[in-house]
Amino acid sequence: MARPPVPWPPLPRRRPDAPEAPHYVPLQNAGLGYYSYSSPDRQYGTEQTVHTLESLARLWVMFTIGDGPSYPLGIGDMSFADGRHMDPHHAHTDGRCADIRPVRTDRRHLPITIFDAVYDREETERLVNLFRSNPNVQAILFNDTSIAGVRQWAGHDNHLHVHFKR
Amino acid sequence: MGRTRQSFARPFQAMMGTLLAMVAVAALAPLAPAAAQIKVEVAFSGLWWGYEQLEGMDMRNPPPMTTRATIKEWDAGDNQWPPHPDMIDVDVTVAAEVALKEPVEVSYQYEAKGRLTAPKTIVRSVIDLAPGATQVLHGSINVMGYISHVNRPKFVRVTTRIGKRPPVTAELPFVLGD
Repeated sequence: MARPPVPWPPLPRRRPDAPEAPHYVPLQNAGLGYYSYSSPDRQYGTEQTVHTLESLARLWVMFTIGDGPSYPLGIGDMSFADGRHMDPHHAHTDGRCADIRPVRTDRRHLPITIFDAVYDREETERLVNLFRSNPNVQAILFNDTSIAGVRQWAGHDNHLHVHFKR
Repeated sequence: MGRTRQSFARPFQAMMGTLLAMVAVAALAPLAPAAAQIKVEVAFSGLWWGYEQLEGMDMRNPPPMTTRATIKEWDAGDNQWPPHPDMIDVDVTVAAEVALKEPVEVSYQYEAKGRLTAPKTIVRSVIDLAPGATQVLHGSINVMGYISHVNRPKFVRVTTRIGKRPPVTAELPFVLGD
């Protein structure tokens, strides 16, 4: 897990001086299958991205595997409504990305890193697989590279950065 | 020709090296004992939510940040934890075994793209300590006032200069993610 990050092309970013500011749609602050750990003004996206994210969250709680009760996933920063730069991020301007918390074994709505004792690798892998199964998901940046389909990227010990196609 | 030059240059270099070594020893000799008698520690902290406040926190109406958190790394990967306040407080603790009365300056620089920014002074005063006493110098750095889509620093370096002693540095790394 402590391997150096693999270089990867930067995600597309909207130019700050782009003539037409986009108008993204909001994620509902407390929707089915997820909870928010970011302020509502930082949770906007394209219609397709918000639709995909909300659909995946519903699937996440509907198809829980094992005996335990279902639990929501945590959604953090996405984009501002007008797509302006979101400090301290580098991306998060195109309305097509979302930060997701890895899964905790205790299911509490709290921060988590892949180095914590309560990090649930198996459930996080299931979460990654759910996202990867959606055709609108383009890439997932995350530093637990024992999980297939994620790309290692500095600063991603404590969240999955999911980038959508549309 | 090259050899001739070298044959002249070698004794000259040797002599200069000896002279420089003597100057260096002379310059360091009075500082070494004094440096050992002064201890400088730098700590970074800021106001943040308490960890126990995070669970179930309504981010539409978050509570005020009133808990003092020590910061070893400014990591903004998760909005709630670890603490990454906009404003970083810097506490420089100076402890002296001997009486000390000298000017002190604390400054900071960001490292970005392999270069250090121009230093900005956050404390400039005179430190006046009795033997065995300590003094804490306070300063603040507006981190989020600097970070932007253009400025992506890797760390901020705080430098403490007391009199003509060698400066003491401390660094706070940044994890800015995507």
